[in-house]
Amino acid sequence: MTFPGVKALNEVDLDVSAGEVVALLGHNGSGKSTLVKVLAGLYRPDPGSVVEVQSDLHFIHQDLGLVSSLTTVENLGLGNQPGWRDLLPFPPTEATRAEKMIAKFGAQFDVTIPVSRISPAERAIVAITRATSSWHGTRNILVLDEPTANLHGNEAERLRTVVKDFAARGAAILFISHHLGEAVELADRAVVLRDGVKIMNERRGHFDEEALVTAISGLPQEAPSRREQIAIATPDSAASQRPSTGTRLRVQNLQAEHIQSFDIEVRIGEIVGISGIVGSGRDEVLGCIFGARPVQTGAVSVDDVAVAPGSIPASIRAGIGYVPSDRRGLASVLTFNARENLTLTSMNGLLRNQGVSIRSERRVAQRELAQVGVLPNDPERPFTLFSGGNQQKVVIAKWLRIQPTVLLLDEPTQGVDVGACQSIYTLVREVAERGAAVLVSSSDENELVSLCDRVIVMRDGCVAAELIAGDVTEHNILRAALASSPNSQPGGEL
Amino acid sequence: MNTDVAPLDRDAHADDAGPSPASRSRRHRFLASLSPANISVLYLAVAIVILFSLWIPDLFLTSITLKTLLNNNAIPAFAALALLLPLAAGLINLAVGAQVGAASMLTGWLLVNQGYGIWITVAICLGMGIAVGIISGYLIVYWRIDSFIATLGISSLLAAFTSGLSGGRQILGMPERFAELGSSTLFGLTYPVWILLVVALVLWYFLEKTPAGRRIYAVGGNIDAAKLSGVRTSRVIILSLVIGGAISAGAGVLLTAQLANADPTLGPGYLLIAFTATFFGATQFGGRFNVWGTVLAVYVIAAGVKGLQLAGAPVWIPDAFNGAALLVAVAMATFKRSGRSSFWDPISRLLPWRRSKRTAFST
Repeated sequence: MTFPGVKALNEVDLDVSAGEVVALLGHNGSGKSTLVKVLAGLYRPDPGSVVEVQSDLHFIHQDLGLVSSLTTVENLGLGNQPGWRDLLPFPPTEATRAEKMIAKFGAQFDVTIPVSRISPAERAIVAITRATSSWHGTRNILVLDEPTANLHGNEAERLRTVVKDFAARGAAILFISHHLGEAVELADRAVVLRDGVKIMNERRGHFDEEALVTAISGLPQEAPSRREQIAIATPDSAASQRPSTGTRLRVQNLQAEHIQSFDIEVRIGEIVGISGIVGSGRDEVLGCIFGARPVQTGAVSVDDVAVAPGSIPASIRAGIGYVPSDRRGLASVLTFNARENLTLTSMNGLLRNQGVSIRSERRVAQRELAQVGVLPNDPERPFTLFSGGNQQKVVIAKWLRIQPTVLLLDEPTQGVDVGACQSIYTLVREVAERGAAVLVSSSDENELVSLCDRVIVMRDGCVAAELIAGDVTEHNILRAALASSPNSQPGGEL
Repeated sequence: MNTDVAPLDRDAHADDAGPSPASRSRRHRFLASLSPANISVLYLAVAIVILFSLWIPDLFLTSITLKTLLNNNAIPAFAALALLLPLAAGLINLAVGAQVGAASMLTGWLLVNQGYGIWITVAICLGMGIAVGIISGYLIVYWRIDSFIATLGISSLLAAFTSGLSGGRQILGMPERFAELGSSTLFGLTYPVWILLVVALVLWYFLEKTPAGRRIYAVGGNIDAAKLSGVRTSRVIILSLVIGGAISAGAGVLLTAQLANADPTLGPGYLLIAFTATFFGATQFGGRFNVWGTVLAVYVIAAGVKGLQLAGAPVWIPDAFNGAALLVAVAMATFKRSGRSSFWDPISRLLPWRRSKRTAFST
């Protein structure tokens, strides 16, 4: 499997035998999700390579694929092949049958209420029941994609028990996970991918969390990957030159969905990264600070002035800018051109006696697009025609218009080519040098290493570790993000 | 601060050094604005005029025909403009016809049955239009009812209001001075046409030249992105419905003045032409809902219908013409916005050789 310029998978073979639980591990870009997609038939492998799947695979994706408004009985029925029988009324024994099916997984709950009202673990059981109800023959593998990513504590534990029992009864299970503790607890064998190559394939007892972290992140002295080369190419000496007195952004006791408790202080001119796996709260935290997501409690202040909670206009007045990760869905108006997207945050200074003068707006846009290096510098060009990197620059330039004191960036270089990444990093550093406090949330550890003065690692909705200066390495970030016990703080010890 | 100044200087020089690319892009923009895709409504207008001038020269090509065309279609044009702002903000307003009808009936009822003065009546009707806009906006924003459903419900409530006031009968006998408002002429055209021109100008200024207008388009383009850019989307939605409500109420007042009576069956019929004209207009002048495209579309469609009627076409022709025009207009607007290369692209892609080419490219 090859993406433009990158070999995503290289001679990977994988086998799962009956009664075995295999954990597939690896961080972003390791080829893990590509492998799953090749198996599911979503991607085509390179010509010449052989993909033999000798089993029937039954996938359960993270979102489970249940229709939340339908009951358990109805959801289980959805897996059946359509036929003329669909026109007959439901047999009266259906509920009993559904209860028996879930009882096989040790579960007992009301199968006649919508699945939106049963617990998350029970929903996962319904999905597993449905996937396995159509098993014929013996060559079956159940593939679970991050099954516990959105589950908490007891719920995840309950699901793990179900999976373990199911394997004990002879099922073959492949599960993809970010949780190392889960892998150690559950897996009979762990397979680790890195840069498309199988790095590790060890039986239970031959691996522990530490070994997995090493395998996943790779040794520091190894040949640098694509992103690491960028990191080395840019001397991060700018950090020492930045003004670093006084707290610019202060967030206290932030609580929201997926976030148990979050506190942070960002100084003037500081770039702080936020890392964490899916479900750790990293995806949500910036939106909560900005007021775009509902928050239960929490106080945000900029330069010691409190910002009204939950109000985007108040945040913007306080000088907070927010670049969401979904560029096309949330960060831009696709029907607008570059100029209109740029001036959406603030049209101050564009008003003349006759209203907005398009000509002067165009001139201002041209100047501001040039400052961030958008190419081609044509304000009238429809936004959709720009490349991903240039689109992102337009979105950042939009926030530079309000002269932000705080800039929140969610996955700032997602879908951006290598060259544009570099200039976006430069741009972000310039913003910080002008005194803004910058928060960068990213699933790319290399990005955080090359950009940030300090990295906060989140786990289970809390701040799990804080890495400063020399401790900010990819290995340390991964180790803190993946570790199982919320009590151990690997980052702190280093 | 130093970092701030340097790029500014560099750019100032770039501006001085290169006026030619700027003027070239200006000329390019000008030429692109004349392309058939951008102003097809004007070409279509010319085509319709030529067609009927050759077909029925002594009936079509008269100043009477032109004047009646302009005068009789002012109210549909108001209805289309009333629909324009909600559509630009991404809302469907199915109540726009019912709003015209309700205001028309309320005008007759207040003037004749209640004996109110003209200006009081006009003020009350505009107030009702604004109130309906606020209520629809409230339902959409705070009760989170889809605009399609909310305005469908509102339109039925307004229909009930209209028949309640009228008892199903026309209200006749408008005061002479009020009827003059609809029939007096200035330079050969009735007042409603001139009022339409003023309203269209104000609306154009509002949409194209003010930040509030830009925000309406932003909400229609991507409400989430607009919200995350600090636009108060709830206010924008309510504002667009309030302005639309005021315009349709004004249209109702003028309708009663034009006819010198209030007819409970009128109003809902304007819904179709309003949608046709706004979507047709959206394919013109840059590819989004806009004032002049909408007004022109109303008159081009009306000219087509008028010509067919004069040529002796059967009675079902106007309905068929309007319906077909709506479907073609919406399809064109949708294709234009989705950025496909041409109107025929989705059709030609069904052809087997085109399809194979496309899949070969995508893999």
